[in-house]
Amino acid sequence: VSATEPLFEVDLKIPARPEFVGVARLSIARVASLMPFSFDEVEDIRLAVGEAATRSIDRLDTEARRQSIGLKCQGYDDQLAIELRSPLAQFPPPRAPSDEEDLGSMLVHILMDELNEEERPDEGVHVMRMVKQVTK
Amino acid sequence: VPETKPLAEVELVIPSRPEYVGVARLAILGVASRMRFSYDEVEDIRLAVGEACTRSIDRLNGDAEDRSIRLRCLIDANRLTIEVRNPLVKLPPREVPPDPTGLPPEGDLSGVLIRILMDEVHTEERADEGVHLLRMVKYVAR
Repeated sequence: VSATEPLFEVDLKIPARPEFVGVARLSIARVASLMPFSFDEVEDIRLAVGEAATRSIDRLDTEARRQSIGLKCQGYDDQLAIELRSPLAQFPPPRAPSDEEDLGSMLVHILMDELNEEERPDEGVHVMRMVKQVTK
Repeated sequence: VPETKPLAEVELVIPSRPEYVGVARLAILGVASRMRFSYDEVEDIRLAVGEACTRSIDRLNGDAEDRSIRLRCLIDANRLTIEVRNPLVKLPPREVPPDPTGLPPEGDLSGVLIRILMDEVHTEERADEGVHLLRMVKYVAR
């Protein structure tokens, strides 16, 4: 993690509903394309954010889906850091994660260079922080 | 425009630099294309948002500090409302030389464009919040 201030920050807030994931995917692709990433890397980031957002929404019940998901994109010289904040599900999911969810999680791991997940019960949010490094 | 709670709301904050206008244009494309707008209407909205952001950036031009522009998209069944907010900055008025072509200055032109493309346009300066607000509405054709 860079200790310096980000060069820029873009924030996006969307309703926590599947039909808005596309807005996040489009926006992040454009943000990433302003940085020195290759075409393939931009696609990786777009796919990762789409999967991460979809996973976050899948965890939520109907009530939580009335809330929103926040995406904070911070660009540095050498990396793009994306923080995805979603409401904390009140209860753990009643079933084991499906293969599809596992695949989504694995994809994000493969596509991004860093992935940290954290639950912040005091703020009532689940935070996913993803980082993509700029390759020299 | 009466303030009723929209069905859904999307918010975007971008730096007030020209290269980020594309992010706003794409985000709005994602929002508008999910509604019952025609292809041409979506393009109108996208163009209007691009112009509105560019105007905001122009307004902040010359201000050394890093500022941001906040966009709010309020989605209703029959209309899309977009609010573009930029910080209110007191800048000395720019000297605009008279245009030899006789056309209105470019800033006015984008204002005219936004009014043509959208169904309702409203601007206000909110001194208490320290923001300049442009609100535009596009109705879903019945």
